[in-house]
Formats: sequence, C-alpha cells, structure tokens
Amino acid sequence: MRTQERIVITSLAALLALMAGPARAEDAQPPPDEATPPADAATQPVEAAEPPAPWDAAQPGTPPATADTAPTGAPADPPPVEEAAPPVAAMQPLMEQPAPPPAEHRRIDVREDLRFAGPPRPWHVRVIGDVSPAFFKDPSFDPLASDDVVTFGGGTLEGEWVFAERVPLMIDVGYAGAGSTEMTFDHLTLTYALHSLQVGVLVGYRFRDAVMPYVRGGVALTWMGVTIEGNDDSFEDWVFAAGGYAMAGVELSLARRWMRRVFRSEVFTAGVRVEAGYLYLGSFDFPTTTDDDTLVEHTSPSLGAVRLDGASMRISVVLAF
Amino acid sequence: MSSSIVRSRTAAIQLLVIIGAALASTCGGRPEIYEDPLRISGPIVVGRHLVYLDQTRERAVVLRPYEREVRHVPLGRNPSFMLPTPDQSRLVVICKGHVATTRDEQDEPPTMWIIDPETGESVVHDLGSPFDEVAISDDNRYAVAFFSADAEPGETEVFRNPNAVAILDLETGDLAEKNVRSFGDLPRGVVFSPSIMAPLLPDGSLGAQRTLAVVFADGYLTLLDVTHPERREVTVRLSLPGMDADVSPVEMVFAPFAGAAYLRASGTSDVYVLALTAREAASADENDFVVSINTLSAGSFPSDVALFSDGGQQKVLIANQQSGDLTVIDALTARFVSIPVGDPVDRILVYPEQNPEVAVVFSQASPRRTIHFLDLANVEASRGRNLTTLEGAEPVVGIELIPGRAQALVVHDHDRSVISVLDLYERTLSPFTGHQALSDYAVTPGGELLAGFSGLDTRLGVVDLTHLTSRAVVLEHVPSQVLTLARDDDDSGDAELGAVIVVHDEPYGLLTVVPDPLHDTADTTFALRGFLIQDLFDDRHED
Repeated sequence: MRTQERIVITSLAALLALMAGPARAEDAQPPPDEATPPADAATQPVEAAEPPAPWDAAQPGTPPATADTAPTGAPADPPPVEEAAPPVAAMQPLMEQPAPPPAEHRRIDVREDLRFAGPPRPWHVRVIGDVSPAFFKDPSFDPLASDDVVTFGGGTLEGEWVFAERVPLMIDVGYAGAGSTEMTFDHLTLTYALHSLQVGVLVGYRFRDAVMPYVRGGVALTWMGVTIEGNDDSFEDWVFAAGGYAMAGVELSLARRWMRRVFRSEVFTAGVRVEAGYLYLGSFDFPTTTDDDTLVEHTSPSLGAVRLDGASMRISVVLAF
Repeated sequence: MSSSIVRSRTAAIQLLVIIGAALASTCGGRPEIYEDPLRISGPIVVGRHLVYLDQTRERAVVLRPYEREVRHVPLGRNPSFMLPTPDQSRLVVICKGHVATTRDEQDEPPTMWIIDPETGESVVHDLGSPFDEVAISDDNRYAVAFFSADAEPGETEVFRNPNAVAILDLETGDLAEKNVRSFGDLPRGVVFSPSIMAPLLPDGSLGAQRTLAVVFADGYLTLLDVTHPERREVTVRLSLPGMDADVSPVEMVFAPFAGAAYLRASGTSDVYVLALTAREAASADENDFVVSINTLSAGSFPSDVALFSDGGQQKVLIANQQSGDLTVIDALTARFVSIPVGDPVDRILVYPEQNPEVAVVFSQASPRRTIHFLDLANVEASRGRNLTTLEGAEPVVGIELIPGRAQALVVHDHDRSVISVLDLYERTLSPFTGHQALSDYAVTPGGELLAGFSGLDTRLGVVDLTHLTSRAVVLEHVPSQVLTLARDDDDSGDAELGAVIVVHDEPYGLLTVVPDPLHDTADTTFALRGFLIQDLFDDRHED
C-alpha cells in the first residue's frame, strides 16, 4: 500500500514539476557517472545527504520552537537542510530497509515533503490560469447557445497572506472571458461575448504543505456583448451587470519543502486547483438602443434580459511566488 | 487495505458520482423551436400599422413605425393566414389549431382571431375546421372562412371537408358553420355583395337588404345570405349537366338597386345575369328570395366588367377582348348597346371609384399604345361619341388609379423601366424613365407621391405627383419592398402627407422609415432594426 501511495504521489509531484518548468541548471543532478564506483553512490544516498529538518522529522506537522517561528507564530524559513544534522530517529527507518537502490534510482521521500512545513514567508503572489465551464440553465440563454455550457478562460492575480499558521487568506483579481457563435432560427447568427472582472477572497486550510482545501467568493463585474447578423446587416449591443460567485475546491501544489530541496527555490511552487460552486454573473438587460453613427439613425428595440447563473467548475494552474 | 482508506475512497467515489450527476443534470439542449427556420409572412398594412405574422413563434408583430413601437400579439397554434378588414381597423388571423401528439399536450381547436392593432386586444372565435382563408365584406361586418382550392391539407388533418365554411358576424360575434353543397370541386374564392343587396319584389320595389357571400368554384357558385346565416345556401350551376364547357366564375359585380349580379366567367363568351326575386319564406331556414340565371350574349369573350350609374340607372360596362368593343348593359332591363373600340380591350378602370364618370379602357394582354376614355354620362345615347383615345409613345401593360387624385400610374413595359403619370381630366401622359426596371413601387394613401426602387440600388426614387418632380433618397440598405402608410393627424409636419416605409430583407426585421420623402430626409429618416426579435431573451419556449 505504501508503495502505491508513493508511486501516485511521486507521479503527481513529477507532473507538477514538469508544469512548473525545468529546474535551474545548478540544481540539476548530474547523471550517474559510469566512472564513479557504485559503491560511493550507495554509501552516500541522497536521503542521507539531504535529510529533513530536525524539527519536522521529530514532530511532523509542528514547527520547532525556534526563534524564527515559535515566539511570534509567524512562519519563517526553516534552517537550511545542509546545515542540519540528521537525527537518529529520522534515520532509523531508512536503516531498517533493505540495501539502498543503485545511485541512478534517486529516491525521494515525498511523504516527508508533503508534510506541513509552513510557508517560507507570510505573503506570496500567485498567478493563475484557469478554464471554467459554467452551466447556465436559464431559458433566456437559449437563443444564444444550443447547450447550457459556457467555457470561460482567464487568469487571476492573487495575493496570499498567511494570517494563521495553516490558514492563508488570499485576495484575487481576475479576468474571465467567454464567447460563442450560434445559428438561431436557422438563419440568424448570434454571437455573444462575456468579459468578466472578478474580485474575490479565498480562505484555505493547508493541512498538508501540498494540499489546501479552500472556499472562495467574490463579486463579478461582467460586460456582455451580443452581435446579431442577418443577411447583409448586423448590429451589436453591450451591457453590464454585477454578480458574484461562491466556490469551494482544493489546491494541490508542489510542496515547498520539496521545491526547496530539489530546485533550491525558496518561495516558488506550482500546482493545480479544482473547484466547483455557484456563479451568478447577473441579469443583462439589453435596452432599446439608438445608433447615430450610420447614414440614418437606427433604432433597435429591447432584446430582453439574459440571466446568467448556475453551477460552475474551475480548473486552474497556479504558479506561486 | 485499511478500512479508513476504503471508506475514504468510497466517499470520494460517491462525491464524484454526485457531482457528475449534478453537472449532467445541468447540461441540456435548448428547445427545438430555436433550430426551426423563422417563418414570417408580411408585412401588410393595417391602418397606420405594419403587421408581420410570425408563424414560428405564433404571434403577430404589430409595428407603429412613426412611434417606433413594436407590439407582440400572441396567437393560437399554427397561425396561417391574415387579412385586414377593408376599413383597416382590425386584423383577422386564422389559426389552424393543434392536435396533441404527447400525453402532456392538449388539443387546441382552429380559431379565428380578430385583433385591434391599436390596442393589441384580440377576440378569439373557435372554428370547426382548420380553414385556409378568410374573406371580409366591404362593410367590415361579416367574415367567411373557407378552404382554399390552392392550399394543401395540413399535417394534422386526416380528412377535410373542403366545402365547409364559417360565417362570423364581426359585430355580434355570432358564428355559423355551414356546409355548402358541392358538385365535387373546391372553393376558389369568396366575394361579398354590398350590404344593401336586396331582391326585387313583384311590384318592382326592393325587398329587405342583406349581404350576400358568393362562393366561387369551378362550374358553379354558391350564394350565402350571411345576414341570415341560418338560411340555406343557394347553389347555381354555370353549365348544364353533361356539357363539356369548363366554365369558372372570375368576377362579379352587384347591382343592388336592380336586385341583380353580373358574373364574368372564363370559358364562355356570355355574361351571366343573376336576378334575385323575393318570395315568401316557408320556414326560418328558407330563403326569402329565389335566384334566376340568364346569359347575355353582349359581345365576345368578356374580359372585364364594371358597374356605374347613369341617370340613376345602374349599368354594367363590359370589355370584350375578342370582339374589341365595349358593352353597356342596363342592369334593370338587361338591354345593352355595343361601342366599338378597335383594340382587344380587356381592362376597365372607372373613375371616381364611388360615382364613376369616366372609364379608362386598355388592352393588358395584348399591349397597345392607346388608352381609351369613355365618358359614362348618357353613354347609351351618345355611344361612340363619348369615346376618346390617347396615343402614347410606349405600349401600356398596366394602369393603376392613384387614390384621391385624378391621376393614374401607367406602366409601359413588363420590366417597369418606364412609367407615366396619366392625368384623367387633361388626358395627358407624363413619362418618367428609370435607369433600371422598377422592382417595386407604392403610392401614398393620399396620392401625394410615388416611391419606388430598382434592383439592388440603395436609392429610393420619389415622385411628387402634384408637381411631377422627382428626387432620390439614399438608403443604407438594399430595399426589398416599399409600402406607404397613412399618417397620424397629430404627427408633426404636413398631416396630409403620407410616409414611405422601405422594407429590407433581414430575418430580424429592418425597415427604413421616410416620414417626409419630398423634403429634407437626412434628419427625419430613421431605421427600425431587430423588431422581429424584440424581447428575444424574454421569450419562453418549451419543447
């Protein structure tokens, strides 16, 4: 069972590492040199060279009562792993295992990396790219789309502040856009575009360094444009509506400890988010309009109101700094 | 595998299933109606309104162009036909109803909708059959719904009785359904007599007035006394049984003060005279008149017929194409005189339309350059001396009276590239030539101007019919139809001036309104766009 979990977690970590980009050149481990005797590698396994921090290994999930962390409660960088002496208790399980694998199979104890270690500093910045299908069931949306699914694409800039030990608070400003063209009534071409500016708050609970469930909510300021094309003529109109959203999800990220150890990155990590919830973009009322920019004044009557609300999902890629 | 892990996995799977089911329930297509073509007929002019019939969404779209108002009037299932009343005050719509195809649907009977375009209010009458058409009497009192010989049975019909008719009194709302006797053919149309139609009494006076509806069919016609719909219909055969003659009624004029009607029919060189003679009705469902029919050999192949009054006597004027003459028939005595014309005349226009003084006669089927004028006063005595001729430079293929004016529009070729304005008093022609064939044209209700366009040209040509000057109005879109509306008295500007509505071929509806075509148009002209999809997002449809 442990082996299966290790495989899954290792695969996930490798995938996230790929998404985060290649490691720095100086961090990369050289390939095993055939000239180097295997015995040297066997006697100096990676785990032995880079053991976990003593406070983490001794009491997982609890930061050590050092001057950096304990008195103030503010997270701080743990001491560099190279400077820490491996405790006996931490080494014991390794010693009980069979002979270490050959040097070319570099083994990583991911479980250790995933344990909560505390962020290296109390604030971070996140850049998020996301795809979010939303399911709008209101009949007012029927003329614009033959199905109820609208797939948004967008990005979010997020500021993170760790105001409690495991509870980060994030404020995000994002953009989401969507659009589609549909043939309605056989010969009317209707195109809609949605541009949504979203401001929200996220509260998470980092019960592991790489796993953070969270809830997120905020307001959405959305501009909706509809273009209607006929035989030789077309017209369009843009309207604005305000709404909001409430989502819940989980963020899976590369553990910062692992990132530090492997890439020597102090603050950078990357991950994915999956969330679902309710999205209300607003009621978009298209009023009677008058267009004076043409040869003769054009008056278009009200098209009515489109209400966009429903269940929504969001899948995001997160880069955190 | 520990039990806690198993429980966690089971919970995760259940959660995924719930989320998947929830998302799946939110997925779905839109109602089928959005995939159907938008079937819209019209527009037609109803007073100061334009009306489109939206058969897809089962509603009438009523526009008041000047006010830029759009109103949707919901209709019954499967609206198929609309017609304004002659006084343009109401709109009559036939809806064919619906036969339920699923258990959660309900049948809806065929209906006739009477709509007031000013208010959008409608009165609905159930019909016994899904009729195709409706005809309305000139006094706006009666409507007769009937099956058209040209229409195919609907998808929901298994059987149809093509000889069923429904008579609706538009004032009282009384509806009577009848089954006219048939000789195996289908109705081809319905014409109404004036409401003062009366049978002759034996003493030569007239009986009670009533409105007759005459149903045309190949080989026969049926008279319905719509004032007394409970009475039986009268069917008149136009040829004797066994005769091979293919006689079909074409045109009928009524001489109410003579208790007679004159029928022009194809396939015969005679004119039929139907005389109504009063009698005592034996029962409530019996008619109080009898119809006698005679043929009048007053020329060869009558092609057009008109009614006029000369010295208080109603007379019938007939154009005989083959014999090239005109026949004047005394409606009361059936005596007639012939006036040779020399051309194969086949069209008659009388002016003024209410009390005709002049008949304009020309040959439409075999275009000639000549237009004949027949002064109708004392015509039987004067005969040929009342006939004058105007020879134009171009052949004449059509003449249309301009309402409210002593003018007529003359079309000189089938492409309508040359038109003229005919002065009916001076009897002169003022030609207007166009760069291209005229695709469509219209004259304002007051006869102030003529507006037309050619092909794909985005200009509207306007002719001031008072001063015979012309100008062009530049449009932004290619026109497909031109209409004219009467103008509200309280509208700004010249109250007598009508306005021009240019229809553009756009599925969502596009009109250019030219309120003042003879003067500056840049500031006053405007376009209405998208009115056929007004409130598109507020519509609610079900599969």
